[in-house]
Amino acid sequence: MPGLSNALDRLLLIAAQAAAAILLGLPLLGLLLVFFNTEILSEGPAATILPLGYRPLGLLLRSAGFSIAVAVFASLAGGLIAWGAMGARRGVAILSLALPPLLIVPISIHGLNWATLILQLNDWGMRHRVPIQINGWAAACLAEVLAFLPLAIGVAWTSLALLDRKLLESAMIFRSPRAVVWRITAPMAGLVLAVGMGLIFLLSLSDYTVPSLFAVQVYALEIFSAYSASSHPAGAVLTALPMMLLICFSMVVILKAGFRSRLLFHASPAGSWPCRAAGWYSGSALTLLFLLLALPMVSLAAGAGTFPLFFHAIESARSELLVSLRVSLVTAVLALLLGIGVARGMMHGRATFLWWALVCLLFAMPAPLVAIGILQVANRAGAWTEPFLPVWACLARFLPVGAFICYAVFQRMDQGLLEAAHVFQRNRLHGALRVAFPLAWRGLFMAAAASLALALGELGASLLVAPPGESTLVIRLYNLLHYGASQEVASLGLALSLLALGAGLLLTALMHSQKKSSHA
Amino acid sequence: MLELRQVGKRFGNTEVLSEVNFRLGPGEIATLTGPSGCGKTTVLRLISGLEMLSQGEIHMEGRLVSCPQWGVPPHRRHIGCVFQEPRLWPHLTVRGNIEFALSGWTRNERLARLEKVAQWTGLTALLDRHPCGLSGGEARRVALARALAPRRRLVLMDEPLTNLDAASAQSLLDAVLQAWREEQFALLYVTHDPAEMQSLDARILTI
Amino acid sequence: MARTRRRHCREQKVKVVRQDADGVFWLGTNGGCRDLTNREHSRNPEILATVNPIKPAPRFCLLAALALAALSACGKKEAGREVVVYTSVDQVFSEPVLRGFERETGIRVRPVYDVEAAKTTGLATRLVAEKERPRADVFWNNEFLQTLRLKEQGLLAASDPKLGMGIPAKSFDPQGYWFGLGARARVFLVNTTLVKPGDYPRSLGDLLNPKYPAERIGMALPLFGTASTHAAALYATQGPEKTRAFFEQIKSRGVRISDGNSTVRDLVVSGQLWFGLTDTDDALEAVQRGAPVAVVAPDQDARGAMVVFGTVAMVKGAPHPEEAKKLIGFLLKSETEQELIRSGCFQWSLREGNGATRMFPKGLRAMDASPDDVLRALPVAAQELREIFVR
Repeated sequence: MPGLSNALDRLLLIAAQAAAAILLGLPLLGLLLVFFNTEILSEGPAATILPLGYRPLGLLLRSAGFSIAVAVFASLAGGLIAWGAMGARRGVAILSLALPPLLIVPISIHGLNWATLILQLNDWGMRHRVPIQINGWAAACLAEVLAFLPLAIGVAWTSLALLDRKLLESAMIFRSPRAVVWRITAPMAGLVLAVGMGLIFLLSLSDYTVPSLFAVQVYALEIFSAYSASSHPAGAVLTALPMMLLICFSMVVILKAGFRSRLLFHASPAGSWPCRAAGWYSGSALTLLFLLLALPMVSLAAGAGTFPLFFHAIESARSELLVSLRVSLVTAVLALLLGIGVARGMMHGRATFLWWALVCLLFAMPAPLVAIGILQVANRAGAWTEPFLPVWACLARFLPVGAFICYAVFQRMDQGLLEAAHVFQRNRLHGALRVAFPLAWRGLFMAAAASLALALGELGASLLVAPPGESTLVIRLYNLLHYGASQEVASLGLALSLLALGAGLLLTALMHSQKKSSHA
Repeated sequence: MLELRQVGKRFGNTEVLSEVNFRLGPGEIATLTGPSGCGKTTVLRLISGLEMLSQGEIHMEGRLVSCPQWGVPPHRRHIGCVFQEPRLWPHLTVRGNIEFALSGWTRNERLARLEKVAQWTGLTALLDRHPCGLSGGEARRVALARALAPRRRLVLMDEPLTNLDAASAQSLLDAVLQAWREEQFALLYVTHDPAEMQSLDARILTI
Repeated sequence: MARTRRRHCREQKVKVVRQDADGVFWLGTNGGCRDLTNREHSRNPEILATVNPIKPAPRFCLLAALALAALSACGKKEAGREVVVYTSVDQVFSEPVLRGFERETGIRVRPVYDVEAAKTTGLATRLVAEKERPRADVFWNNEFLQTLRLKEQGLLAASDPKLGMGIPAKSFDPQGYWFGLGARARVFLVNTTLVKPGDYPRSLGDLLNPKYPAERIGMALPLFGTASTHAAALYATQGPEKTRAFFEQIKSRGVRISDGNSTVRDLVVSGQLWFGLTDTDDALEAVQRGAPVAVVAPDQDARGAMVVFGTVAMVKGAPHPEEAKKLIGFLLKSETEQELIRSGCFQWSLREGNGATRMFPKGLRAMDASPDDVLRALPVAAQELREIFVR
């Protein structure tokens, strides 16, 4: 019955888009409901909404400056390492093996690992009276740069890998490799690098986990404190407004760069990377990559103590571990399935602008605000929503990421192949499963993996929405780190990192085996 | 000008070329032809230095530039190259794409040379356009201009007129011949087209 | 290449033949890949089309995956008794106690811990927000002020007052709404490599002493946790004008204000601060770690140090009242208090002879501030401190 199958296919897409619209739209509605709470109007001085003042705005500027520094340093270092690694023999193979595991480990876990290492160094220096103390803004900046370095390397690698090799070869005929780098490679890859730098800036601006460990006050923490200090979320919403405006402005700039950059890239470039780097440079880059992988592991292993202590720490955190895994896996699956629908909405139809606005707004929203919006709706809806809140919070935060990646994947797909499929397919789902999905599965897998990694490390919203007894591992780690339980922190950080590394290696092996079988 | 001695190339277990020998004198035109997949493009890539030899030697102007153990980098071989695709850099204008090849020239020299090459290839009105605003034929003219601009002693062309209509192809071929007549560079030209071979009226090398 | 193409054609089944507007025939196969047109075949229109219906499996798999994901999104609800406790006591201390309760009674504990950045106030805010539909059964606080505030707002339920036996009268509510559990004090933690014993701070007034550089001394933001309780106690004991002036001078001097007591501890230990005002449990942790620090109780010759006791209370409308009573009874056992003192959570017992820290061998002079007075001073204190430190 052809008519029925067409209707069902359309229904699936509409269902996915409707679910995404509800999950993303309701937190925004919740934030609006905050201002219609009559209790705010009736209560006395204790309910005063926090006005904006000189101090908070100064804090916002300092936080923005801090995040810009993190983004610039991380992107520069990532670009240099990616360039060096790609220029080595088998460098691309090493990158494709080492990077996915590093990327799967959540950024917040990287941050906590590096922060632990820096604190251990400071501790050692203090006890042995060695004047090596990295504290305050410098320590927070260093820890965040190192935490974002895998992402920066990944972005730089992507920007270089997407370049048309033939354009680089034709430049090498005329000019030296250095001139080719400055005149051809850097400008062409620069747009994607700029997008990556912007992404790191946004992620850093919304994060307070690492800065708070070094007693550095950032604006993201101010929003959380504003919510906790007053009984009313309106204060937090108003406090968050300047940061949201800054994030929205940044997103417009980043999206513009992103749209321009896609014009530079055509179908997947074939051939090996033509630009060989000097041996010492490639060697240094690969060594740094290895240290990025090994150093936190070694320091965590040293801090974890003996095997009984290590296993005891994991046993103590068993329920948090299971909760984290459950929430992040469900988030990954739903972010992918719904992200496809949202990406389609961003590409086609009459509501593309609304989809873009919704996705960008949710991406820009600080984590505590997302949680506040969700709680406003959930409290009115009833107790039955409680079990869904952690997944909902993660989806509201990271479904936009999945949608962006799906959008990029769909944009890069060879339209000629899809058009040819449209001639033959029985219905849209048939064409999607037999043609589009095989072409896009790698990118879609990355969307799911990115959502998984982000959800695993989510803290800001989970803190506020986690039902009793359903705390996540990152919350536990964060609390323990603040308390100073370094052995437990090291054990849990090591366990989580090993888990993520294992998943990353599995992912790499899977993608390599798929590549081999498709070339056979 | 150019000499290939027992040149061979292997990709993994596949031998693409073996025992290729030929010479090209200064100012000489030679046409390289052969069936699809026989390795014509590979020969050009070996000569330009974009691939390493598996066996044999390549000499240019009496000096060794390539052997299995090492090779002079492409930009030091001072050759011009027109590839099968235009390969224009999208972030540079037509002027920028051509001037990229004129490294080390003074400003006045660059301007004069650019004007001359643009006249040969009919690009005078298109110098400030970006590659995305050019048609296929116009893009090939730019690629040709870029290869001719730096006054190289050896120019390699790999099927530069593919997918062009007859009139455009003829006018580009005329531009190549005009430049060759004025500057007397050695030209190694890869083509399948008998009409092009006839127009070039050159020695034919077959793989 | 040619061999590959022939193999490709042999394996494919013809699905459909279509003719486009230009008259070209397009051959559809089940390969679903690039090479979908074959001009040789297109010149032969006698090839018949067979169309197989699509198998429903892929669609059902998609729906099944969605359903599974939705079901998995629910948290596991284990059958059996449970109790929900909101606690601002550090997880590293409270968790072993709660696990002990689970083992002893078989009642599952579902805790909500607080984070350093919003100590206590965050949980109290949550309890207020949930008052129409409480989720918590027990509120275990590491100080008393927010607990009293919750009682004032009618958010606590009365338990058996006899549970307060052995606790001093001002450390529990006579009607049984809340009970005191363990005590800590507000003290100075001093970095001994940077400050000589003769220069140790002795009074809260030393926070304004010009001999100590303002950027090298610190305290936690007095809007949360024990810092907030301490500030309210100062308002209660020395009056609003004097206390406001004190905090205004702290702010204008540029004394380092951090987001929590453990942060103050870390800054002192790392040498970024000469000394800081923090709690005895944080100070003890630094001492036990072997950091070069000393602990000094302020104002021992004058009003005394602020002593903050923890509290435990039942939430009004608790979903599991019987289990809540059991948990409260367990927490108030003297063995539990001893364990908390041994672990370093509290440094003094409220019960006579039930254990105390050896941090102050000669004892500690405590500030005379009744919980009710401190509570009465809180609204003005909170308002003014927010104006001073947040705006």
